Amino acid sequence: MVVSKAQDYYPDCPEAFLVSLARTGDRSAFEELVRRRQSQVRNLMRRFCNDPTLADDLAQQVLMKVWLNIRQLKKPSAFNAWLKKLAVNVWLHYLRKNDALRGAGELQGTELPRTESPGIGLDLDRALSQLEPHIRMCVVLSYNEGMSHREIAEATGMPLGTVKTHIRNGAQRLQEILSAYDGQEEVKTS
Amino acid sequence: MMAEFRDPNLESLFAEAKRDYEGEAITAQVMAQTRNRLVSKAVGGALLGLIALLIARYVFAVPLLDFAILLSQFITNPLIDLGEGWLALAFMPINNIASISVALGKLSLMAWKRLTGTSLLR
Repeated sequence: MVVSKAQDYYPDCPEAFLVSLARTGDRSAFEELVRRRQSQVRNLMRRFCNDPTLADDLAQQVLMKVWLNIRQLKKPSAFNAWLKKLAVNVWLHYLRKNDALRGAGELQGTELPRTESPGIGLDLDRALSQLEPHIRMCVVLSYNEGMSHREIAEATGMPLGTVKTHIRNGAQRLQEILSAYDGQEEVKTS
Repeated sequence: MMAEFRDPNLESLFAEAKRDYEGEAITAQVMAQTRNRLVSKAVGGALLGLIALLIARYVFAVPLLDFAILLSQFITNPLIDLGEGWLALAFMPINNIASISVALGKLSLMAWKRLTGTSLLR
Protein backbone atom coordinates (compact mmCIF):
# COMPACT_ATOMS: atom_id res chain seq x y z
CA MET A 1 0.00 0.00 0.00
CA VAL A 2 1.34 3.41 -0.93
CA VAL A 3 1.07 5.86 1.96
CA SER A 4 1.12 9.46 0.81
CA LYS A 5 2.56 12.12 3.05
CA ALA A 6 0.75 15.36 3.91
CA GLN A 7 3.37 17.26 1.91
CA ASP A 8 2.20 15.49 -1.27
CA TYR A 9 -1.00 17.53 -1.06
CA TYR A 10 0.70 20.90 -0.58
CA PRO A 11 0.73 21.79 -4.30
CA ASP A 12 -3.08 21.69 -4.24
CA CYS A 13 -3.46 23.62 -0.98
CA PRO A 14 -4.66 27.24 -0.83
CA GLU A 15 -1.88 29.72 -0.17
CA ALA A 16 -3.33 31.01 3.11
CA PHE A 17 -3.24 27.46 4.48
CA LEU A 18 0.39 27.05 3.45
CA VAL A 19 1.24 30.37 5.09
CA SER A 20 -0.40 29.20 8.32
CA LEU A 21 1.65 26.00 8.21
CA ALA A 22 4.86 27.86 7.40
CA ARG A 23 4.22 30.12 10.41
CA THR A 24 4.41 27.02 12.62
CA GLY A 25 7.82 26.19 11.14
CA ASP A 26 6.69 23.71 8.46
CA ARG A 27 9.56 23.87 5.95
CA SER A 28 7.72 21.83 3.32
CA ALA A 29 4.87 24.35 3.31
CA PHE A 30 7.39 27.16 3.03
CA GLU A 31 9.10 25.35 0.15
CA GLU A 32 5.80 25.20 -1.71
CA LEU A 33 5.29 28.93 -1.07
CA VAL A 34 8.75 29.66 -2.49
CA ARG A 35 8.00 27.53 -5.54
CA ARG A 36 4.78 29.45 -6.16
CA ARG A 37 6.07 32.96 -5.53
CA GLN A 38 9.68 32.93 -6.75
CA SER A 39 8.73 33.94 -10.26
CA GLN A 40 6.75 36.97 -9.06
CA VAL A 41 9.58 38.12 -6.79
CA ARG A 42 12.22 37.62 -9.49
CA ASN A 43 10.15 39.53 -12.04
CA LEU A 44 9.71 42.39 -9.59
CA MET A 45 13.40 42.49 -8.73
CA ARG A 46 14.41 42.40 -12.39
CA ARG A 47 12.19 45.39 -13.09
CA PHE A 48 13.79 47.16 -10.12
CA CYS A 49 17.43 46.53 -10.92
CA ASN A 50 17.82 45.43 -14.57
CA ASP A 51 20.42 42.83 -13.63
CA PRO A 52 19.32 39.17 -13.62
CA THR A 53 22.06 37.96 -11.28
CA LEU A 54 21.53 40.75 -8.78
CA ALA A 55 17.75 40.32 -9.11
CA ASP A 56 18.00 36.64 -8.23
CA ASP A 57 20.28 37.42 -5.26
CA LEU A 58 17.83 40.01 -4.00
CA ALA A 59 14.91 37.63 -4.61
CA GLN A 60 16.67 35.04 -2.46
CA GLN A 61 17.11 37.64 0.26
CA VAL A 62 13.41 38.46 0.08
CA LEU A 63 12.43 34.78 0.35
CA MET A 64 14.80 34.28 3.28
CA LYS A 65 13.23 37.29 4.99
CA VAL A 66 9.86 35.62 4.48
CA TRP A 67 11.14 32.51 6.28
CA LEU A 68 12.69 34.51 9.13
CA ASN A 69 9.73 36.85 9.69
CA ILE A 70 6.66 34.84 8.70
CA ARG A 71 5.59 34.51 12.35
CA GLN A 72 5.08 38.28 12.41
CA LEU A 73 2.45 38.03 9.66
CA LYS A 74 -0.85 38.17 11.49
CA LYS A 75 -3.24 37.47 8.60
CA PRO A 76 -2.24 34.65 6.21
CA SER A 77 -4.54 36.19 3.58
CA ALA A 78 -2.35 39.32 3.54
CA PHE A 79 0.69 37.32 2.43
CA ASN A 80 0.90 38.82 -1.07
CA ALA A 81 0.92 42.43 0.15
CA TRP A 82 3.38 41.54 2.89
CA LEU A 83 5.67 39.82 0.38
CA LYS A 84 5.71 42.92 -1.83
CA LYS A 85 6.51 45.08 1.17
CA LEU A 86 9.44 42.83 2.05
CA ALA A 87 10.65 43.03 -1.56
CA VAL A 88 10.46 46.84 -1.44
CA ASN A 89 12.37 46.88 1.86
CA VAL A 90 15.11 44.66 0.46
CA TRP A 91 15.41 46.89 -2.61
CA LEU A 92 15.47 50.10 -0.55
CA HIS A 93 18.09 48.58 1.73
CA TYR A 94 20.16 47.65 -1.32
CA LEU A 95 19.83 51.19 -2.69
CA ARG A 96 20.89 52.73 0.60
CA LYS A 97 23.83 50.38 0.87
CA ASN A 98 25.04 50.94 -2.66
CA ASP A 99 24.53 54.67 -3.09
CA ALA A 100 21.38 55.00 -5.11
CA LEU A 101 22.48 57.68 -7.53
CA ARG A 102 25.79 56.04 -8.41
CA GLY A 103 23.97 52.70 -8.84
CA ALA A 104 21.45 54.20 -11.22
CA GLY A 105 24.24 55.56 -13.39
CA GLU A 106 25.93 52.20 -13.52
CA LEU A 107 22.76 50.44 -14.54
CA GLN A 108 22.20 52.52 -17.61
CA GLY A 109 22.71 50.06 -20.38
CA THR A 110 25.96 48.66 -19.08
CA GLU A 111 24.72 45.59 -17.23
CA LEU A 112 22.18 44.29 -19.65
CA PRO A 113 21.26 40.66 -19.38
CA ARG A 114 22.76 39.55 -22.67
CA THR A 115 22.29 35.89 -21.86
CA GLU A 116 18.51 36.28 -21.94
CA SER A 117 16.58 36.33 -25.15
CA PRO A 118 16.11 39.92 -26.25
CA GLY A 119 12.58 41.17 -26.18
CA ILE A 120 10.05 43.33 -24.50
CA GLY A 121 11.31 42.58 -21.01
CA LEU A 122 14.84 43.54 -21.93
CA ASP A 123 13.80 46.79 -23.55
CA LEU A 124 11.49 47.65 -20.70
CA ASP A 125 14.24 46.98 -18.15
CA ARG A 126 16.66 49.09 -20.18
CA ALA A 127 14.15 51.93 -20.27
CA LEU A 128 13.35 51.56 -16.58
CA SER A 129 17.03 51.70 -15.70
CA GLN A 130 17.10 55.26 -17.02
CA LEU A 131 14.67 56.38 -14.33
CA GLU A 132 15.83 57.53 -10.94
CA PRO A 133 15.61 54.49 -8.56
CA HIS A 134 12.74 55.76 -6.38
CA ILE A 135 10.72 56.85 -9.42
CA ARG A 136 11.42 53.49 -11.06
CA MET A 137 10.27 51.69 -7.92
CA CYS A 138 6.97 53.58 -7.83
CA VAL A 139 6.31 52.98 -11.54
CA VAL A 140 7.13 49.26 -11.24
CA LEU A 141 4.93 48.81 -8.18
CA SER A 142 2.08 50.55 -9.92
CA TYR A 143 2.33 48.97 -13.38
CA ASN A 144 4.01 45.64 -12.67
CA GLU A 145 2.31 44.80 -9.38
CA GLY A 146 -0.93 46.71 -9.84
CA MET A 147 -0.60 48.37 -6.45
CA SER A 148 -2.63 51.48 -5.69
CA HIS A 149 -0.90 54.77 -4.90
CA ARG A 150 -1.87 54.44 -1.27
CA GLU A 151 -0.49 50.89 -1.06
CA ILE A 152 2.77 52.07 -2.62
CA ALA A 153 3.00 54.94 -0.16
CA GLU A 154 2.49 52.49 2.72
CA ALA A 155 4.99 49.97 1.38
CA THR A 156 7.71 52.50 0.59
CA GLY A 157 7.13 54.98 3.39
CA MET A 158 6.95 57.85 0.89
CA PRO A 159 4.27 60.57 1.12
CA LEU A 160 1.24 59.88 -1.08
CA GLY A 161 1.78 63.07 -3.09
CA THR A 162 5.37 62.08 -3.86
CA VAL A 163 4.25 58.65 -5.01
CA LYS A 164 1.66 60.17 -7.35
CA THR A 165 4.21 62.60 -8.79
CA HIS A 166 6.81 59.85 -9.22
CA ILE A 167 4.34 57.62 -11.07
CA ARG A 168 3.07 60.37 -13.32
CA ASN A 169 6.53 61.69 -14.21
CA GLY A 170 8.03 58.21 -14.41
CA ALA A 171 5.35 56.89 -16.75
CA GLN A 172 5.72 59.96 -18.95
CA ARG A 173 9.51 59.61 -19.09
CA LEU A 174 9.21 55.87 -19.73
CA GLN A 175 6.93 56.50 -22.69
CA GLU A 176 9.38 58.99 -24.13
CA ILE A 177 12.25 56.53 -23.83
CA LEU A 178 10.22 53.67 -25.25
CA SER A 179 8.95 55.73 -28.16
CA ALA A 180 12.56 56.59 -28.94
CA TYR A 181 13.30 52.84 -28.98
CA ASP A 182 10.26 52.37 -31.19
CA GLY A 183 11.80 54.72 -33.70
CA GLN A 184 14.93 52.57 -33.72
CA GLU A 185 12.78 49.43 -34.07
CA GLU A 186 14.20 48.09 -30.85
CA VAL A 187 10.93 47.97 -29.03
CA LYS A 188 7.67 46.50 -30.07
CA THR A 189 5.09 48.08 -27.86
CA SER A 190 2.22 46.97 -30.05
CA MET B 1 -13.19 57.82 -5.25
CA MET B 2 -11.71 58.43 -8.67
CA ALA B 3 -9.93 55.44 -10.18
CA GLU B 4 -6.19 55.83 -10.54
CA PHE B 5 -5.15 56.35 -14.13
CA ARG B 6 -2.69 53.91 -15.65
CA ASP B 7 -1.43 54.23 -19.18
CA PRO B 8 -2.90 51.22 -21.04
CA ASN B 9 0.14 50.88 -23.35
CA LEU B 10 2.55 50.75 -20.45
CA GLU B 11 0.24 48.40 -18.58
CA SER B 12 0.19 45.92 -21.47
CA LEU B 13 3.94 46.30 -21.91
CA PHE B 14 4.57 45.40 -18.28
CA ALA B 15 2.17 42.47 -18.56
CA GLU B 16 3.93 41.16 -21.68
CA ALA B 17 7.34 41.57 -20.07
CA LYS B 18 6.46 39.24 -17.20
CA ARG B 19 8.13 35.88 -17.46
CA ASP B 20 7.47 32.58 -15.76
CA TYR B 21 10.82 31.58 -14.30
CA GLU B 22 11.76 27.98 -13.64
CA GLY B 23 11.89 27.76 -9.87
CA GLU B 24 13.67 24.55 -8.85
CA ALA B 25 17.17 26.02 -8.55
CA ILE B 26 16.21 29.09 -6.54
CA THR B 27 13.86 27.03 -4.35
CA ALA B 28 16.68 24.59 -3.61
CA GLN B 29 19.04 27.48 -2.78
CA VAL B 30 16.55 29.16 -0.46
CA MET B 31 15.75 25.88 1.29
CA ALA B 32 19.47 25.17 1.72
CA GLN B 33 19.82 28.60 3.36
CA THR B 34 16.91 27.89 5.71
CA ARG B 35 18.51 24.53 6.60
CA ASN B 36 21.84 26.22 7.31
CA ARG B 37 20.06 28.77 9.50
CA LEU B 38 18.36 26.02 11.47
CA VAL B 39 21.60 24.09 11.90
CA SER B 40 23.56 27.16 13.00
CA LYS B 41 20.71 28.08 15.35
CA ALA B 42 20.76 24.59 16.89
CA VAL B 43 24.55 24.55 17.18
CA GLY B 44 24.51 28.05 18.68
CA GLY B 45 21.82 27.03 21.16
CA ALA B 46 23.73 23.90 22.16
CA LEU B 47 26.94 25.90 22.63
CA LEU B 48 25.17 28.52 24.72
CA GLY B 49 23.55 25.77 26.81
CA LEU B 50 26.92 24.12 27.35
CA ILE B 51 28.53 27.40 28.37
CA ALA B 52 25.63 28.15 30.73
CA LEU B 53 25.99 24.66 32.23
CA LEU B 54 29.72 25.09 32.74
CA ILE B 55 29.23 28.50 34.33
CA ALA B 56 26.45 27.15 36.55
CA ARG B 57 28.64 24.23 37.56
CA TYR B 58 31.51 26.59 38.36
CA VAL B 59 29.30 28.99 40.31
CA PHE B 60 26.82 26.66 42.00
CA ALA B 61 28.52 23.27 42.37
CA VAL B 62 30.18 23.90 45.74
CA PRO B 63 27.21 25.73 47.36
CA LEU B 64 24.83 23.03 46.08
CA LEU B 65 27.00 20.26 47.52
CA ASP B 66 27.20 22.09 50.86
CA PHE B 67 23.44 22.53 50.86
CA ALA B 68 22.88 18.83 50.05
CA ILE B 69 25.19 17.78 52.91
CA LEU B 70 23.46 20.13 55.35
CA LEU B 71 20.04 18.92 54.27
CA SER B 72 20.95 15.25 54.57
CA GLN B 73 22.41 15.87 58.03
CA PHE B 74 19.30 17.77 59.09
CA ILE B 75 16.75 15.19 57.95
CA THR B 76 18.65 12.30 59.51
CA ASN B 77 18.94 13.96 62.94
CA PRO B 78 17.16 11.91 65.66
CA LEU B 79 13.83 13.45 66.67
CA ILE B 80 13.93 12.02 70.19
CA ASP B 81 17.20 11.59 72.01
CA LEU B 82 17.41 7.89 72.89
CA GLY B 83 21.03 7.89 73.87
CA GLU B 84 23.56 5.43 72.48
CA GLY B 85 22.05 2.09 73.54
CA TRP B 86 20.19 -0.67 71.71
CA LEU B 87 16.92 1.34 71.82
CA ALA B 88 18.50 4.12 69.80
CA LEU B 89 19.77 1.59 67.28
CA ALA B 90 16.39 -0.12 67.02
CA PHE B 91 14.49 3.10 66.42
CA MET B 92 17.14 4.77 64.28
CA PRO B 93 15.37 4.01 60.93
CA ILE B 94 12.19 5.82 61.99
CA ASN B 95 13.50 8.30 64.56
CA ASN B 96 14.29 11.12 62.11
CA ILE B 97 12.58 13.81 60.01
CA ALA B 98 13.13 11.97 56.73
CA SER B 99 11.28 8.81 57.72
CA ILE B 100 8.52 10.78 59.43
CA SER B 101 8.10 12.87 56.24
CA VAL B 102 7.92 9.73 54.10
CA ALA B 103 5.39 8.16 56.47
CA LEU B 104 3.27 11.34 56.52
CA GLY B 105 3.35 11.53 52.72
CA LYS B 106 2.29 7.92 52.40
CA LEU B 107 -0.53 8.43 54.89
CA SER B 108 -1.73 11.55 53.03
CA LEU B 109 -1.86 9.62 49.76
CA MET B 110 -3.80 6.81 51.37
CA ALA B 111 -6.23 9.26 52.98
CA TRP B 112 -6.73 11.05 49.66
CA LYS B 113 -7.43 7.76 47.93
CA ARG B 114 -9.92 6.73 50.60
CA LEU B 115 -11.73 10.09 50.52
CA THR B 116 -11.88 10.66 46.77
CA GLY B 117 -11.42 7.18 45.35
CA THR B 118 -8.69 8.45 43.01
CA SER B 119 -4.95 8.25 43.25
CA LEU B 120 -2.73 11.33 43.17
CA LEU B 121 0.06 9.25 41.69
CA ARG B 122 -0.43 7.95 38.17
